[in-house]
Amino acid sequence: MSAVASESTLSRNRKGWFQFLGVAGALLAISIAAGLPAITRTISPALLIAAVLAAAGPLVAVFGGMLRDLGELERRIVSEALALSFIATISAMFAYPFLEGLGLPPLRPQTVAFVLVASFAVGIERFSRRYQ
Amino acid sequence: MKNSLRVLRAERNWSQADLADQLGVSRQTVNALETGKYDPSLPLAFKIARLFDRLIEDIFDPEEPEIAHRRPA
Repeated sequence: MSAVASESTLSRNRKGWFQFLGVAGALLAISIAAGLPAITRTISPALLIAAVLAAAGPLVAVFGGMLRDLGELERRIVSEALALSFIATISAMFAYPFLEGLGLPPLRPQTVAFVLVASFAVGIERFSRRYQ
Repeated sequence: MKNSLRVLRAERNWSQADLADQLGVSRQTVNALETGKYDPSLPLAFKIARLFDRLIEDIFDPEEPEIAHRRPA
C-alpha cells in the first residue's frame, strides 16, 4: 500500500469524525441518563423524549455535513459501511431473542446503538481497504 | 474496467495528487481509478476526458463485447 493511496478524504476529515464521535457519545450519555430510575421518576416522559430528540439533531447535522464534503468514492465507502451496519444490527436484533432464551439479559437500546456504530466503524475500515 | 489514466498522467508528469486536485477528488480516488478498483461516475468520466482532451472511450475500456444493436420489431 503506497503512502499516496493511504490518504483519503475520509482519513483527512479527522475533525469531522471527532465531532461525530463527540456528538454520538453525548447522545448515548443522554439516552442512558434518560433511562435512569432517578431521572424517570422526576422528569416527565415527554420532556425526556424531547431531550433525546434534541440531542439527535446535532448528530444528524454533523453527519450530513460530513457526507456533503465527501468525494464520490468516499461516499460509496460510507454507503457500503452503512449497509453493513444495517445488516449487522438487524441480524443481531433478530438473533438475540434466541440468546435471551438461553439466559442472556434483555437487549438494551444502548447496546443496539453500540452494535450500529461499531459495525459502521468496521465497515469504513474494511471498505476503505478495498479501494487501496 | 481497464483505463489509460496512469499513462496519460505520466505523459504530463503529474502526480496522483496533481490529478486529484484538478478533478476535485481525493488521491485515493485517483489511485482506485488507475488500479481499476473503482469505476468513475459519468460526470467524473466526462471531467477526466475533458481534462485529457480525449473521448471517454479512448480512456476507458469496458473489456466487454460490443452490445448488439437490435432493430425494434
